[in-house]
Amino acid sequence: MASQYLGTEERYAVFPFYLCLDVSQSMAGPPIDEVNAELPQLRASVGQDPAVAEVIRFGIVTFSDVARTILGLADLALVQSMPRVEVEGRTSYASAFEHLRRVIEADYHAGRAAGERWYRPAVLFVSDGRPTDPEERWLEAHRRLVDPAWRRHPNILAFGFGEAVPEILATVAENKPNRAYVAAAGAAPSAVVPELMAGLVQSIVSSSASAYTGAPQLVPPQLPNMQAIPVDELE
Amino acid sequence: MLVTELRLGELLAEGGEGRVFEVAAGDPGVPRPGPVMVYKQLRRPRPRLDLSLLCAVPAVAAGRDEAVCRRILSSSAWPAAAVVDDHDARLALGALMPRAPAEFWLRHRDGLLRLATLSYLAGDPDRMAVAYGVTLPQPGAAERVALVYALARLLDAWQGGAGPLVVHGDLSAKNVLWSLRPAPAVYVLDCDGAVIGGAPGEPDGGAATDDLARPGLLRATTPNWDDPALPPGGVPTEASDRYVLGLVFLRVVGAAHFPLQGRQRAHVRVNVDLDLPRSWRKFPDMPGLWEMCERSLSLVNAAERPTPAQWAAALEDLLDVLGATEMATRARAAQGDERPARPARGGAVPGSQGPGLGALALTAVTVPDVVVRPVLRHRAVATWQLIGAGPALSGAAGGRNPGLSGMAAPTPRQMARRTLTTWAAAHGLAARLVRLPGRRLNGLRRLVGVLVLDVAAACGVLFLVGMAVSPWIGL
Repeated sequence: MASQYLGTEERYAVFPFYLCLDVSQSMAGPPIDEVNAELPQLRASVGQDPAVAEVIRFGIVTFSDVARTILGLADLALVQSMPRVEVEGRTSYASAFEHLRRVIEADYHAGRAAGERWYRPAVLFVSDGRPTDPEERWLEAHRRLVDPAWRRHPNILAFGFGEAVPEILATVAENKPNRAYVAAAGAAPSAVVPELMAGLVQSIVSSSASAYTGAPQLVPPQLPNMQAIPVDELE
Repeated sequence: MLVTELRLGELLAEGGEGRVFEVAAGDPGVPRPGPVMVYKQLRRPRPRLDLSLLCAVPAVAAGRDEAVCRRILSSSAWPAAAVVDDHDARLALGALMPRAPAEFWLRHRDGLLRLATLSYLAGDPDRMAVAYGVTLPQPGAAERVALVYALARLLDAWQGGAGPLVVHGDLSAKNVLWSLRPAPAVYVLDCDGAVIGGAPGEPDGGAATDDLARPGLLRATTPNWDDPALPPGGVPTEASDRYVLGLVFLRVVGAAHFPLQGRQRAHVRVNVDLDLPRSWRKFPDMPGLWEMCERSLSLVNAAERPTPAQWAAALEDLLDVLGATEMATRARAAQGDERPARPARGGAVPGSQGPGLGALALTAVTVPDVVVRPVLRHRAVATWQLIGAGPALSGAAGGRNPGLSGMAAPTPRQMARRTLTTWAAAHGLAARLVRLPGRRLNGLRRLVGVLVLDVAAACGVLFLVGMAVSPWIGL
């Protein structure tokens, strides 16, 4: 009979989620207001549930002309308040992808130094428009982010509304099935954003539950034609 | 009652199975006097008859004596009435059920009350204190044992003695609430999916869709709290609840999530290390307890899992040894049934189904597929491992706790693994000692810390060796 060992020294791997949020000018008004209204709810749902918070780490990256980290990867149970998101300039996908790669690499090493094990990170990419930077530039940045040779490459779920282009979002999600979602044309952002944020919470909560089984999955929101994606553990 | 007769209040909770609302106080459908009711709205309607069978208290009371009924109703949110569709009275949209009593809510640091689920106890209590400002008993504390004891007694009321068999089927950390004040007690939620009499309620003929007519498809299961012996979609039996009882013991007493099911397969033995405080060394019948735990968690011998009555008797013994007899007494009083579960020494006890802990230890003959090994240690693991030269070394010198009859010596593979773990912990501590604010050059700092530790350790060993051999070489 084969034998496996299960000790309490064995810490759970953490499941990092990065919310990568478009804060270009087109998000001004109801979309950004809804995001700011929903972020505290996300903190409450994820951070205040001990079973979820223990395994989930959450960070927020915003992008416009430049990308920046407004919430470093953190245990939401220990985050006292969520940052407010402000509208900025244009929509540089390249900045977002380059920044994400740097942040994931740095967070991974910081986590390992603190004794954490990591499941493959997930990026929840949300945009309401098309990229304003040259196509070859953002495609190259995207290629580097999802490069299989880079061992920390994340799984990406892409969500779009407003002027977002389905084909571009599908490219962001690596053209993999069930990873990209676009709201119906003409849908009001004030209705789409709360639904989307609720879906993200549900995705994070469901993914955290799967992490406890030892066979973690990135579970997309309950949206049409989406199914669970197996996620492997980083070495 | 009809759904349109309900006046719904605030949304209290939302989960995979449905949403829970407050019900307005003056609602004509709410029984009075009685507990405050909530409405659980199911995501997928189900046959009314299926739910109505559960709702009537006589369904669980039939054949049971009054004290056992009190035990059931004091510890579970048993559904009180099915709420049906206005247009199709054969479909139940949800059920009214009692709201969890005030003692089963925890106040977080932010001032908001939240249900005191077992999730709090299945994690690191120090982390819970930092994150939420709640104070929890440490791993292995008698309070934790008393809560498992209260759950075992509730399951015994459902599944032991006279009356129809009741199987919850979805016991999990989120469905079991706990309280230590005024007495150790548990409160089980989501009883509307229970199976009575060994089979789920018959669907309302003709009213249901194909899916509704197959109760297995309606069942919710919680990841990491499911019985690996139960096929997907299968109707749970009492063996499933017994599995979760063993799991609750492991996770609540050990204060950690053990990802057990993902590793349980045929022809695979899973060895579980359970960290416990040193006060447990006083318990003389450790082998029986661990064997009971192993049998509860067994995948291959699911039919042989210990009954809740056996668990209750064993945990009463354990609480005695831990010096917490009065906790068991208070837990029983809180359930309105003060009879102990175990036989008095040499005598029979009402409600007890099987032998106590000591007798159980003599009956096991099969090779377990789950092996639970208690590891007694102080709380500060890393520091203790450094000071005590590591568990592997003390284990090699005759076991971690030579005076403890229940402790087996670790295998060479475990010793090697623990030695590596100890060394890694030492390196981690050394790295932290030289860690400064900021993240720059973290790798270099860690390297420096590790080098300092290794050089210091090597110098120490050389010094000791030199002292030992110096008389023999004439120095």
